[in-house]
Formats: sequence, C-alpha cells, structure tokens
Amino acid sequence: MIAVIGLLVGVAIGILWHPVVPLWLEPYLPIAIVAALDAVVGGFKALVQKRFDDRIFAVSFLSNVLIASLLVFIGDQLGVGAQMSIGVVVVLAMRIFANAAAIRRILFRA
Amino acid sequence: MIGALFLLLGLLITLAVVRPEGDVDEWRAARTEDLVQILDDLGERQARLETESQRLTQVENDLRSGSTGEALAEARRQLEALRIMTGTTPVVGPGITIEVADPEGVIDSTVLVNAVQELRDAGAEAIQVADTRVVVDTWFADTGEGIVVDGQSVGDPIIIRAIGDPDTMVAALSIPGGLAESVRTRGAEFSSAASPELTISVTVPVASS
Repeated sequence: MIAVIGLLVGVAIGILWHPVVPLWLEPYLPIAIVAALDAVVGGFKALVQKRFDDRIFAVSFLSNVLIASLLVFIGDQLGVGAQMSIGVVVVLAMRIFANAAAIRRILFRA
Repeated sequence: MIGALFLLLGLLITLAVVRPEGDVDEWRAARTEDLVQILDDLGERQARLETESQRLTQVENDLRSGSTGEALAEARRQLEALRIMTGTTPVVGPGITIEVADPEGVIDSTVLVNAVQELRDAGAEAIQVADTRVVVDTWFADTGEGIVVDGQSVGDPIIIRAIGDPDTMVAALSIPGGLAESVRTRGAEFSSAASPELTISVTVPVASS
C-alpha cells in the first residue's frame, strides 16, 4: 500500500515540479529505471514467497541502480557505452522475466 | 523506507517519460555521427549564404551609391541569368553530351525526368534533350512511338546535352543508382563525353503576353 502511494507521489512530484535532469545524468536514467524495476520485481517475488525484508529490498534497490549506472558509466569511458547499456538492459530484463515467472508460479500455480 | 524508494522510482519514470514542452525529440534520438554531419552541412550552408549575402550587399551598395553604369551592368547580368534559366538564349560553355542508345525501347520517360533532375542537381545551367530545350514547363510522356518531350519524339539514340561543370555532372551520373546504372540495367547503352565548349542553340520562343 505504502509502495503504491510512494509511486503516485513520485509521479505527481515529477509532473508538477518537473526538475530539469542534468545532461550528463540523462543516459543513466533509463538504466536506473530498469534496474529499479528489477529490484521491485525481485522484492515482489520475496513478498509472495513470504520472506520479504525491508532492509534487503532497500539495499538491493539502491545497489542495483548504482551498479547498473556505474557499469554504463565505465562503458561510456571505454567507448562502448551504447553496447554496455544494451547489455545491462538485456540482463536486467532477463532477471525481471525470471522473477515474474517465479511469481506467476507461486500466485497462479501455473 | 519502501515508500521513499517507490517515490524515487515514480519520479525517475516521470522524468524519463515526460519531456518538457518544446523539447525536440528528433535530435535527442539521433546518433552523434549524424548530428556532426548535420552540423557540418549547416555550417557549409551558412558559409555559402554569407558569401551570397555579402555579394548582394555589395551589389546593393553599388546600386545605391549609384552610377547608372553599375545598375545597367547588374540588370544585364540578371537578364542573362534569367535568359539562360528560361531557355530563351543560346548557351555556350563547358558541358557534357550524353548518348543513350535504346533500339529496343526499354527506356521510358521517368528515366529522362530523373536524368534532368540529376543534371540540375549537379549544377547544369542549360539542358537540351533531343531537339528540345529543357525549361521549367518542359514535359515528358510515353507514347506508342516512344518518348515524347514537349510534343516532339526524342528518336534513337537519345542525345542529352547539358552545360555546366562536366566533372560534377559526370560524377553525378555515374553514382550507384544514377542515370548510367539505371540505363544499363534496363538493357540500353549509355555513353557520355565531356567537352570544353558545347553549344546549346535551341531556344524557347519568348511568349508574348
């Protein structure tokens, strides 16, 4: 419940206030979102497995975002930023699908 | 804690999805190399336009400060340019002669229209197809007896003369997908010859209004 409220408040702040994203941060925005989604789906899986933990979720959320952004940053420095972004997004997407499949199995037994 | 994290996520998503008003997505999505290319093109264009602007300012000053001689010379120059463009005067200068031998009739009018476009893009000042001077209202059509230009049959081989920089025009015609290739893939023969002094003597009669 608190998650939904937080999400809505975040969206509302984004729309109403609309801070300008610094240009150097812009390439990392989509990566950060996908990484955060991965953490959210992972957290949801833990929730349906009844072993959800606030602290683990928070750490995994932040570390996911940081590590994904860091990888892309290193990729940029090495001149393979675009490929690195694709690689990170593919891996995260695979994890999201795997977790989604686990959630589906538990929730719907299918 | 969780609420704060989701707030962050919502904020990030909104920032990524919603673009401020007036933001041009076109450039955002373009690759760096393309952007550099576009910038170069714009720079070149600006340089060209600045040169043109300087010339025109010069002309304006000359006209304003005004001896009639200069005004007359400028008027003559413009008249000459307009005559060449409208095809009412014979033109002599460096150019190329193109010969398309097409005994089987595989060439249609689109090929000729494309040829004229390519020549114009390559800087041709005056173009003659068969016995017709090509001007703004020249038309090409396919009929039972072959291609017709302004009502006259082009015959075979089709001779196209164009006055302008020969090297540029030859290069324009021989690019992949250009006139030379499209003529040859259709099974007709293409040849072009540059000459330092070519004459286009056919003119369009001046319409009386």
